[in-house]
Parts: sequence; C-alpha cells; structure tokens
Amino acid sequence: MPKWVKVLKSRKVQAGVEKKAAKVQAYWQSISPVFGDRPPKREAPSHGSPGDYKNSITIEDHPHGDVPGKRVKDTDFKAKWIEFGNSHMPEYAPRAKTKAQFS
Amino acid sequence: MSPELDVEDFVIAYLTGQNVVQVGSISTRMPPQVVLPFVLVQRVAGGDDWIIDRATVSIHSFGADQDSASDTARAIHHAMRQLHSKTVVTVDGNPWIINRLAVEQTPIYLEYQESGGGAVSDRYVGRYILDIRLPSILGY
Repeated sequence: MPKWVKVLKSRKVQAGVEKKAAKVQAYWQSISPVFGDRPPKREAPSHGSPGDYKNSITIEDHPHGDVPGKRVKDTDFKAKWIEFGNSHMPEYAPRAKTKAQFS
Repeated sequence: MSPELDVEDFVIAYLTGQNVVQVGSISTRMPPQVVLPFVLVQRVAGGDDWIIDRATVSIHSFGADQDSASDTARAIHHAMRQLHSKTVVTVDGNPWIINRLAVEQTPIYLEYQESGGGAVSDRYVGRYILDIRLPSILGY
C-alpha cells in the first residue's frame, strides 16, 4: 500500500475528515430555511413537517476506492426548490452558499 | 455612482452584448407578466477577500416549452464558457474583466411551478462562479 494511502487511512486524517464534515453540516443547517422562520403564506407546509429540509442534511460515508471519506448531502423532497427557487419559494441556495463558504 | 460592480449587471451586460439574449428578455427579478423566452440572473452565494469577488451566479432560462428553454440555456452556456480573462464587458460605462470562470452546474431542467400547484413553466438552471477583480481599496 502506498504511503499516502496509509496516511489517508490513518485515524488522525479520518478524525479530521469527520470534524470537517460535521462543520460543513452544521453550517449548512444553520443557513437552511425552516417553515415559519418568515411570515408563512399557509398554516402548515404543503409537504412534510417544519424542519424536514434542515434535518435531511446528513453525513454519509463516501469512500474513494478503499479510502474512507465523508459526504454531506440533503435528501428532502423540497431540496431542489429550496436550492434553485420556484414561484412560491426564493432561491435560498444553501448548498451553493455552503460550498462557497468551504471552498 | 459606486465603484463596486454588481455581478448580475455584469452577466446581463455580457449576454446582451453577445446578442444571446435581447434587452428586455433578461432581468434580475421575475416580472409580474413573463414574456417568453425569459432569462433570470441571480447572484446566490460567494464573498470577497477584498481583492477578488467570487460570485456564484444562477442563470434561469424560461421557454414556451422544454425545447425552447433548452435552446436558450445552451446558447447562454456556450456564451458563458467563452467568457475569459481578456473579455472586456462594459457596465455603466466602466470596463470590467473576470479573472476566472468555473461552471458549477451545467444547465439542468427544473420545472417552475406556479404558486398553489398551478401551471408549470419550462426552465433550465445553470450556475457559474465568476472571480472578478475588485476596485482597489487603500491598504490592499
């Protein structure tokens, strides 16, 4: 096994990756819209519950070959509307804002 | 007039200057009555380091049908990919250039639904990252 692969697999590097993923997840969640944080146009969300999008931002394993890695992603039904906007929703773009923050 | 640049104005000036989109068919906000084809330009993310403004810009292309929206989006995408560091774009009489352009999202189809689950319009959305040199500030 090449030395650099050994380094990537080391506990220290993996701890750093997990720490960074948690940081990205926390930032993304902090800027995510939640139903009711602005004057709502309806009494309840038409899909799911308040906070569904924010809570859908999770960290999953994303290995590169046999090197463990992490990926932060959103899985909520409304994710595309929230990211790119619609007539009833501004283009919040939390994913793009998170990417800009960490790149 | 502020010496700072509005990146949305820069993109609109570039695309209209290239005759990819007609003046009046492109804006930074959705008009109450949309006349198709229509292009919406919105800055959605990115900050600056006092020297370079790194803006993430969304370009929404609306059309009468999916083919028309796609044609507009591809024409815009082709023009955006030709934008480089020697392309001079005049905004409010001042010349501007970019340092770098990156395609963050090649145009993808995303239907645009009217409020309350009403009519659906055809739309493609592309995203671009533009690095633009900011006017000098004393000390930087």
